[in-house]
Amino acid sequence: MAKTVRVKINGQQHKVEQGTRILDYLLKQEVDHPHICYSEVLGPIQTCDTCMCEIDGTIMRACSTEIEEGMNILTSSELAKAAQTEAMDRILENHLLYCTVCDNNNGNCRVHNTAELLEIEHQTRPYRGKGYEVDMSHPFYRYDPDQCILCGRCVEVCQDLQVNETLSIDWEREMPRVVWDDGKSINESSCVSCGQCATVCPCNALMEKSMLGEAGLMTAIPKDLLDPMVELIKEVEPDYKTIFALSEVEAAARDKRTKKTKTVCTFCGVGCSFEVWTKGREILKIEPTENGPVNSVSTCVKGKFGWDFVNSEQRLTTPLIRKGDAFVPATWDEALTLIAEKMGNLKQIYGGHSLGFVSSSKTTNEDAYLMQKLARQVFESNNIDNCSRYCQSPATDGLLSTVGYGGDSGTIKDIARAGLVIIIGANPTEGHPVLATRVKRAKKLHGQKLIVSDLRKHEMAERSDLFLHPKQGTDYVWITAIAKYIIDQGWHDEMFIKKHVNQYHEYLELLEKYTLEYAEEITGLSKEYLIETAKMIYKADGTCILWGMGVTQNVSGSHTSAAIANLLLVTGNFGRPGAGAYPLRGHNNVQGSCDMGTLPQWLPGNQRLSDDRAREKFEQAYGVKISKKPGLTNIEMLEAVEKGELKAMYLMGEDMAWVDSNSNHVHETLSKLEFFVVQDIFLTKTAQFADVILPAAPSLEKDGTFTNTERRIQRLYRALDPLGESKPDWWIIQQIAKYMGVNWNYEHPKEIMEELADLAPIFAGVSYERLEGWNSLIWPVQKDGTDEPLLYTKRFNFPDGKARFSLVEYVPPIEFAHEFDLTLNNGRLLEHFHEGNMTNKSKGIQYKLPEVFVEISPELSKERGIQDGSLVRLVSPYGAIKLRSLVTDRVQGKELYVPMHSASHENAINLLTGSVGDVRTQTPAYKQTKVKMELINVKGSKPLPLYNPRYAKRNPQLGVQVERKWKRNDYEPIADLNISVDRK
Amino acid sequence: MAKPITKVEAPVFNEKEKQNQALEKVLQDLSRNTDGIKETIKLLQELHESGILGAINNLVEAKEDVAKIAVEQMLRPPVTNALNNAMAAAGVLTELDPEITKKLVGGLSTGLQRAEEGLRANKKVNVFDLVKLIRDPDVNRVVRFSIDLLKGLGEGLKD
Repeated sequence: MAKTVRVKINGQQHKVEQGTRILDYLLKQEVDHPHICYSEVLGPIQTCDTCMCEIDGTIMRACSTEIEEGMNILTSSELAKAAQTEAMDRILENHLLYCTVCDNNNGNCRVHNTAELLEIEHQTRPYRGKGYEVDMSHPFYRYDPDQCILCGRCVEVCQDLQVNETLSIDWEREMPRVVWDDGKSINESSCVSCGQCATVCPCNALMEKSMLGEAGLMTAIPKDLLDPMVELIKEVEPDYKTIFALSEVEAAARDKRTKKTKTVCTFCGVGCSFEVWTKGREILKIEPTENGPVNSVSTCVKGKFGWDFVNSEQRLTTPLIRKGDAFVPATWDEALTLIAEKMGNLKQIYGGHSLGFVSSSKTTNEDAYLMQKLARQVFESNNIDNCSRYCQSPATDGLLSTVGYGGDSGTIKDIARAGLVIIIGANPTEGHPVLATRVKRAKKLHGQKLIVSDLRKHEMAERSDLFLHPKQGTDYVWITAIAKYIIDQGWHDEMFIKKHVNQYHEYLELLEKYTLEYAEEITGLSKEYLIETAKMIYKADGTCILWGMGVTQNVSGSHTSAAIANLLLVTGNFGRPGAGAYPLRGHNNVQGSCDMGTLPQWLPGNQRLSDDRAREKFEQAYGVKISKKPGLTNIEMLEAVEKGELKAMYLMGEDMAWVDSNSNHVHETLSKLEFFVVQDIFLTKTAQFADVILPAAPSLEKDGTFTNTERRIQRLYRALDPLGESKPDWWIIQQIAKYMGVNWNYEHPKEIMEELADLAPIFAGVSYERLEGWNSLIWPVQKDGTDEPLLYTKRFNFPDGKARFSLVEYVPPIEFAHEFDLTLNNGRLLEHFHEGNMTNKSKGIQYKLPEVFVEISPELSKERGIQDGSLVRLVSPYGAIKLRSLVTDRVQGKELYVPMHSASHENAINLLTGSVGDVRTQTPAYKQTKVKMELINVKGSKPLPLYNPRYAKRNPQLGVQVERKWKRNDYEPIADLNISVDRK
Repeated sequence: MAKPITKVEAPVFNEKEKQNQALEKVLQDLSRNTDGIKETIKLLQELHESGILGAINNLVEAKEDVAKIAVEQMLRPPVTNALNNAMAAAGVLTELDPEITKKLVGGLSTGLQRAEEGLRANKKVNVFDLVKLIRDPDVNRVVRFSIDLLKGLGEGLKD
């Protein structure tokens, strides 16, 4: 219990918790106190000096001074106001207030608002430029040093929140400015285009290029007219009150046409939320705010800048029907009639099990729920699956068998506060960027420890305290060996196991053969490393294990996931803050898609098909019989097509032709479907096989909810009208049901959520009212709205409330013929999302990362006579691709890496992967691909352009280092005390 | 049975449909505002016949150049001076107490009346008259007022 102190603020008595900073308290009380550089998420930066207040007669900053007993604080006394005005005067020396014609005059410009608040009338220091050119080199944003107030918010966010460590302010120059790396241009620096610097910039010094000349009513004025106008304003010298009045008028007018809508990102599973600003159909910018529950002001390049696809010319805008060798535009009526006719007939003749339904991990919960309902109620089929089949099904399986829920144990906050984070087979700085930033920040500022196990030395591996590089596919062994070692040393949580976990004795028996020697032999990891890992887990106050495709996309994916859960159970790392299992879900709504029952063995709300009571509930609600027999997975559906048993498929939002393994085989199989309906926003490779193509609307064009990897449900609001004849997926599915004779009559997605909440206990308390605005709920949600961010605090999800050790064994990787001597690792990179269908429509992203390539280790390149740009052919038992090489030490020895952002027959990775999958869930073992390499041409152009940030060197430092500013000769302190603040 | 195809036929009639739809919307708006539309048409016709509409069109087309010229002109020192003076004068108006201004103006009008009478009377003033007049409370008052006014002006000029 923190103690409270009594203080006087502006003459009134207040009781405040000890240690609260003055500004935090004032903001909570909704007092308008001036401040520019401070944000709660960044902490006190102390560069702007505008938050000065009078405390017991001395001048101190409100942002960094903690409230103490008996303080007498005056926020607008003469002394305070003089200090604040002096600070503002210095700022205006650096910044020209041409607000009326400024693209940042949108109501949230801090410099503008604070100058207004301080009632600045004139400035004593005249404005002067800094003598640097505007940096327009980067495709997405620009820096104007002449408007920069040197507040360092951009530096703070880059160094300590995003932790890409590119920006700094060179305080020792005569004229300081923000620099990228050691003074490079933005485009040639290590900047990863996350956009956070532009987001937190309190004025227009850093601006998104999409805003320039577009946001304001008069900002598109060309320079040779604008400059004289600005000159005029300077010559005529009206007082600032007049200038502000004018700019307020302009802002009010512009507000009428700038629409600001809250949405949730459509890319990865982190679930960032932010505002999207639109003007008509044009997307002005993405504006994250501190209200975003997961990300606050953070984004990555895709979420901040990757939305060109929404207005791409290649968007499908009308239904298409195959006629001969072309797709012919059709009306909705024509398309729906044809679908109902064909699929209805097939159902009548062959039954529901001759039809297959593939749901999307990108569409909303409401879209997914209706897909499931269509399959089960209208077509009486359990053949429904989604893309988790290709990625995290093994993790779900492993967790279901041990702790009872197939999702993350806690939230991003738990990951940030863990004593130790272990990342196995995942690359979060590229796959879950904002989540990775919180891990990097915890390490940089709070000493969190990090262990990484991977084949590749990616950014997290570089930053780790311990980097394990086991042989591909052997993670189960070292994880289990460490569990055994911990128990042997007596480092396990005996009480926790006794109280909460079943099958301990059987588990001990299993452990016997997993000695350190055995682990060393199988995995290639030295005993020392294994012991060090065990020690770090033992010493840590809470361990979070994050894992990804490196674990799951193997024949032993589910077994290894269970082994991870076992290790966490052994060490008592469940049901407490800062600990748990975190399989990182890849898509924005793959968790939601699974929760909605778009799986062959599951009903909505994570209720098993085999659970008679649950099934009866749905039978009653839907008025049909639902078979107890599990339906077919994606993989099995394709097998059934080969056998002639599956006649038709309805697929939504999935480029199966490129993301399923063994593309050649998949293409052949898809051609054999009697009837194929594909619903998407682009004419993907998969759609090329369709008989009917239906144009769908992406996230910005509809209402609904997404569920992220934390199990957090968030609402997205419609910002744009669907383009052309495209429609939200739920509308389309409802129409198909209607044409099949079943009338659902939903008018808005909120009704769909209401129905779901009725039928699924873990969603009982979920409603659109409760999710309004920035609110979110983490399931399970009780009827009264109580949600559960941290699982297992009271019990595990089994009838007896106890977890159980999994007793599955190690499954060694697939064997390949000797000629295939190289291990082909694969995955995604930061800039593109998956196979790139959405991100390759963004000019800027294509510019930074145009093509795929194969990463080859320096050792291997020497051995084979390969250099950067060499054209090589990679051949596996299943196919071949041709692509250019990139020699890098990110990969070692005989291990290669090919990113997956290609939708081309030349070099899509899945032309090489095979059809063997995880033993329990069939997830293809993408990572267990072996190839042989043929050199075609030694000389060639580098596939990764030199202005890609991977070549540049970062510039780490701790924040903006305001102490260096204070040391300057020309700095006269305003505060009576300048103290460095401890990084909290 | 479908081999992969990529050819999409251009939806020619769809374009026409879209056009018709758009036109529909415009016609709807027009029909709801017939009177205003009719008046506007009359106005436009007048402006057109007199040549004004053409001139305006050309002016707006040349908006950038015109604006440049306007701003250039405004930037010339004589103009910026005038603007600054106007703003300074406006500033004075904000500072003056309206009560005093009323009194001054009232006093001035009374004074003018008197002065006019005096003019018609054509009286002459000598030095002794001056000394006597200083003692006149009304004259004294205005002399005191003027001297204080000069003093204040002198103070203001000091900065």
